[in-house]
Amino acid sequence: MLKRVYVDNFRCLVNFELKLGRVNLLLGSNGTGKTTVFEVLYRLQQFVAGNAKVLAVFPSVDLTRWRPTPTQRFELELQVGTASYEYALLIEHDDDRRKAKIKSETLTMDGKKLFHFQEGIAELYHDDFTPGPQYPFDWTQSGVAVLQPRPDNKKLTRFRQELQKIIIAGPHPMRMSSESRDEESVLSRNMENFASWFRFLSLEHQGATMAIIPELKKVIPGFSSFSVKEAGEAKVLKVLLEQPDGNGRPLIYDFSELSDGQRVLVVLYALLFGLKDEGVSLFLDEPDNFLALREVQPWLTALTDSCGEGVEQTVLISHHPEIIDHLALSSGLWFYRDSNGPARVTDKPAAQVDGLKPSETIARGWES
Amino acid sequence: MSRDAVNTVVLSEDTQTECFIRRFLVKQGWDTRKIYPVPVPNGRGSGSGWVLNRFTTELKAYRSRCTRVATCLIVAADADNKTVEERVQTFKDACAEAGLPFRKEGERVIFVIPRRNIETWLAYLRGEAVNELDAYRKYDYESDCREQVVKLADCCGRKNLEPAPPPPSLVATCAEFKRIAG
Repeated sequence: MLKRVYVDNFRCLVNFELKLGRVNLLLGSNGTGKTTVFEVLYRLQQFVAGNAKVLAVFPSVDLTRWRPTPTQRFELELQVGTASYEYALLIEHDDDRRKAKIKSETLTMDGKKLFHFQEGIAELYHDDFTPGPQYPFDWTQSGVAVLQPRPDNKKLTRFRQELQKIIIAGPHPMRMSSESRDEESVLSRNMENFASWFRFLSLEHQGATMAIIPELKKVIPGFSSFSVKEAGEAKVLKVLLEQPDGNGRPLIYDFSELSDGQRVLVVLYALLFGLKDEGVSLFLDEPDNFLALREVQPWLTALTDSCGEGVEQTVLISHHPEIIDHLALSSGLWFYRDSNGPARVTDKPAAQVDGLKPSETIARGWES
Repeated sequence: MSRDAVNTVVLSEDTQTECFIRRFLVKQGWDTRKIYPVPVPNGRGSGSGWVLNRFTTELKAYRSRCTRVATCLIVAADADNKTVEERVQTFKDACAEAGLPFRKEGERVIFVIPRRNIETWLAYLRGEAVNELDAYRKYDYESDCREQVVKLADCCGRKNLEPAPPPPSLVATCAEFKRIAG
């Protein structure tokens, strides 16, 4: 479970700290930094667990515009069982903003070092925290990302695995294609590769499809099942729906032929039930977009019930009144931003109004 | 109208009680999609006052709906320092003030009134000796009540609350559930 995120000098996040619990709802006006937090996490994931180069992931254009400081700092605290991992990354951009290097990168577990990089030298530590080899290392990529799993670095590689279990995405149904060229283990930010991810899920997680189908039958009238059909070099995700009279062979549609809302329902229930017991964390940006009002509460209940029972942690960004009224005061993290200044967050609204629902208070701007 | 409209509304003063009731209903065979927990404004502690204020609105909604479809209204509020009867009386008073008749014979409206609060029942279902005056520990997460839900469902199946003696407020609620069972 991600317990803490600290970001300094990334867009509107300046000396910004966010503490998270098991169920979280990020609230706030447009432009207050909610999605930016997801963006940072996604990029850190690409950097630490995906082996990307520093400038590709953290270009200078994302330095906070009103600050002259060339360094960016990112910190994560990740709880895995009883162990607490802390990851810190310091990036320095050069004067003309065309290059960037890692000034330091540190991973600790319960306060003891597992990896440290500074001034071009990487120091590796064994699983018993005794010092291991020191070696010159590339200034432009994560030293944590490149280490191959070995019997004596299981703690370090576990951190990477756990970081990869955080799914950071927001459904954009218009971008979702039925076509897939490969299985893909990572769902993209906008979920446009859902068909490829679904193929991976069907192959790698036995029973996932079987777990999803009964849930979708409850929410999509006439839903029957999925199939994947060859189409030249690609494959196409198909959805089988019952005939209107319920008799005869099911009708076959491309996934993209479903309505926007139906595609989002498929994705949201696939995330919840296809990965049950995998210990994933779901960081979802406006998952309620495109959903019928009747569908929001049942999905939200299924999601919050899953937390601690298969799903490790949930962080939602939402402006939906139903979600706000269910979660705002128990699990809300309230984002604020004065003018074009830095984003700030608190765990309580500045003001509450007796007799009004949280969504009604927010609609009037009376929460601040 | 929606093919799977909600048929059970849970009006509860906190999310722990709501979670416990909802999970219990599902364990008893209710369809989770047909249960609508009214959003609890202050999450973990809105207080019985909020339930009381909202009660007459939900009762009116129930009455306008129940003539067409079998619907239930489950109202949950802690007894706190009152007796169960005294807490139910506050709902009767609210009805009188609103000019509404209180629950009529055959209406599928029930009152879940844990005394002192839901934590008393959870402690009992963990096997602890409890009284209805002391305060017992709260869970960090509402879903941590899952084992107690299973225990209560198991007791219901055997029609026997164990260990004896159960909290009287829990016994009273079991009797209330007969109004909506089946």
